[in-house]
Amino acid sequence: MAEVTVSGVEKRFGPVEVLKGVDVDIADGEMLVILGASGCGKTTLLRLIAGLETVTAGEIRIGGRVVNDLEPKDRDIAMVFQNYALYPHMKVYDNMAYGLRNRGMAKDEIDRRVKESARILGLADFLDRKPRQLSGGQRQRVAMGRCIVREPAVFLFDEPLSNLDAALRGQMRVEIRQLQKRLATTGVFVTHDQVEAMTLADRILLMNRGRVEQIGAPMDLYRRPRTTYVATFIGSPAMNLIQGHLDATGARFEREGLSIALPTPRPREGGRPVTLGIRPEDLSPANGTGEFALRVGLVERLGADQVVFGDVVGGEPLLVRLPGAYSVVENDTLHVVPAPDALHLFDPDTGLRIDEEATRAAA
Amino acid sequence: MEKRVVFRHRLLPYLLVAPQILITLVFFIWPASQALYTSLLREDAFGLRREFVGFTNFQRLFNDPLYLDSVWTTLLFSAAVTFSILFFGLLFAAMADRIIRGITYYRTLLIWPYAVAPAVAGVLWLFMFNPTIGIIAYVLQGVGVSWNHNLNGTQALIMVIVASVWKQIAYAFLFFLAAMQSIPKSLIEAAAIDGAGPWKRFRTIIFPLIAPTSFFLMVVTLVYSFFDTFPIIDAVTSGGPARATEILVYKVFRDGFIALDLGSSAAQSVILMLIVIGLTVIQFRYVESRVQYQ
Repeated sequence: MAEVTVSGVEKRFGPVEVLKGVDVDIADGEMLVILGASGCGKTTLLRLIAGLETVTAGEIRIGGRVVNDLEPKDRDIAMVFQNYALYPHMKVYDNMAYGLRNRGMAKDEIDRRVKESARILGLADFLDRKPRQLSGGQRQRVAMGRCIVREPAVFLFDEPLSNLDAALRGQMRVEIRQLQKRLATTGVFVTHDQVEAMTLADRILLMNRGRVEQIGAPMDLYRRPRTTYVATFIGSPAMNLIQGHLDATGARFEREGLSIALPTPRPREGGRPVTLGIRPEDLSPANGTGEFALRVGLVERLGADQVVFGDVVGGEPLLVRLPGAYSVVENDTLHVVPAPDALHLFDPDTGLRIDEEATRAAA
Repeated sequence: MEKRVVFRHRLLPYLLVAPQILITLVFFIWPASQALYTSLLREDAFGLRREFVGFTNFQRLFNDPLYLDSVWTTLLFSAAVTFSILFFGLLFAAMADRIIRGITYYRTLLIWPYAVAPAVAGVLWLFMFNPTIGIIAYVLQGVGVSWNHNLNGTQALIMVIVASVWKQIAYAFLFFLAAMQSIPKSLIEAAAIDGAGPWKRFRTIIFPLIAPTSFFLMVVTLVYSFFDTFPIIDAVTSGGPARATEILVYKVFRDGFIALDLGSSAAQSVILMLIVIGLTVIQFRYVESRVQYQ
């Protein structure tokens, strides 16, 4: 049981700067999901915590102890790899016992722990098998088992579900979450899949190009994205971003063919250019009296709901997510109204959320 | 779906395999059967008369102290050569596997000796070990070893072993390195997290995973030490001094082509042939059918 502190961590591979100063505090027992597109440095951050890479600058603490110069084995961590990294020549039992034997644990204690973990993971009948005789989901469980027998301070997960098919992925996601909660062990989980991130995380750390874009509870990132990057990364389909400006009084967002009232007027910022963000699911049909009209293009019917690809006047594309039962006809005109509290304003130059920017300036 | 190519013409498949079969017949089956036949004959040195003597040639061989000496020399030589090649090949591969920068140069330099012709390799070592002008002999004399492989049989054997090993390490190195690099890196990292140090990782993870390669190399290297070391021995010691470096394959040559005892020489070839067949069977049974991991 331990908290993990990452402060000012930078990592360079030759001339390539992979991490440009990352700070995050992970509380004891918390599940932090590091989310980001490929190449953003999320796996590097995890490997730095594991000790498989060394930091260029900054400090990493696990349980209050600086671990910068410690070997992976001395950091009290366990890791699940993307390809599971099971030892192919060892039986499941030996795979799980290997780490304990290396640490010189007594035989009966090893046996107790391995059998207990196997029971929890439903692997009791497979202890005598070799990894190649197991299915993908079972291998995944063995990799988990190898971690939990160690009873480490921190679990590290490097995209462990990406090799599984969709159904199994959903199931393993739930299992990992339940297990981590039950053991109350600190967890760091790297993924590029926002659904995994949203469902697994206590908090999400969204990374972009070696920097932290935002850290927060999943619903915080969804409701109050700090930047346009976060806004478009979280949520599917992605948030609509419309370029425009505030009117002179700061009460409405305006652009050609579009005028939307803001929930709270911003008189001091009247006239400034802004980017307006509206999630497709925050737009709902308004019977003819809506705030703006939409020419319906393609319609994707997903069953429970449907995604309408439309254009507002002026050719700006706009996505709307509607209940599956609502009837939409292609090439028709659709009137939609945004939920008033679901409008996001961003600075078009910095991409920062505007109320965020205000609090920053005040601080 | 059945994956099978069917030739339209009946003769075409035979035509396609014909060159290979012809080569096998001319260069393998024919000489081999000739050897088998000759091993049952006795012929005078001028090739004027030959008579059928059954297994007498074999009987005489196994009662010949010189032949038994040669068997013993061969076993000693092959064991030393095979063990050293595997040991150094593995050692160098394990070291090269850890190198990240400049691996290409390192690898290229380590492979070079393999490109050297065996006789040239032998002569190279012969110069270095030359009791009068050789650099190694000089160094050895400096530390109090009186080196003269022209007189000392043990020293001569050591010299041909060194030359044979040096030449073939590259081959083992290549295979070991390829096997090691095909082990997923995450396995090694997982073992590191699991608390295994470098030596333990090598012993419990890497070595078991390259075991099939090691076994294959052992068989191939044994065959090398039995047969392909002939040019080295011929160039360096010619089997001497006093037959101290006369391994079986060299004795075949000497008895057959120099002493012109064709019957005995053929019988020795047949015995060597049986050894090769045995090694090949072992290789096919245990190496080729070996289960692949993952």
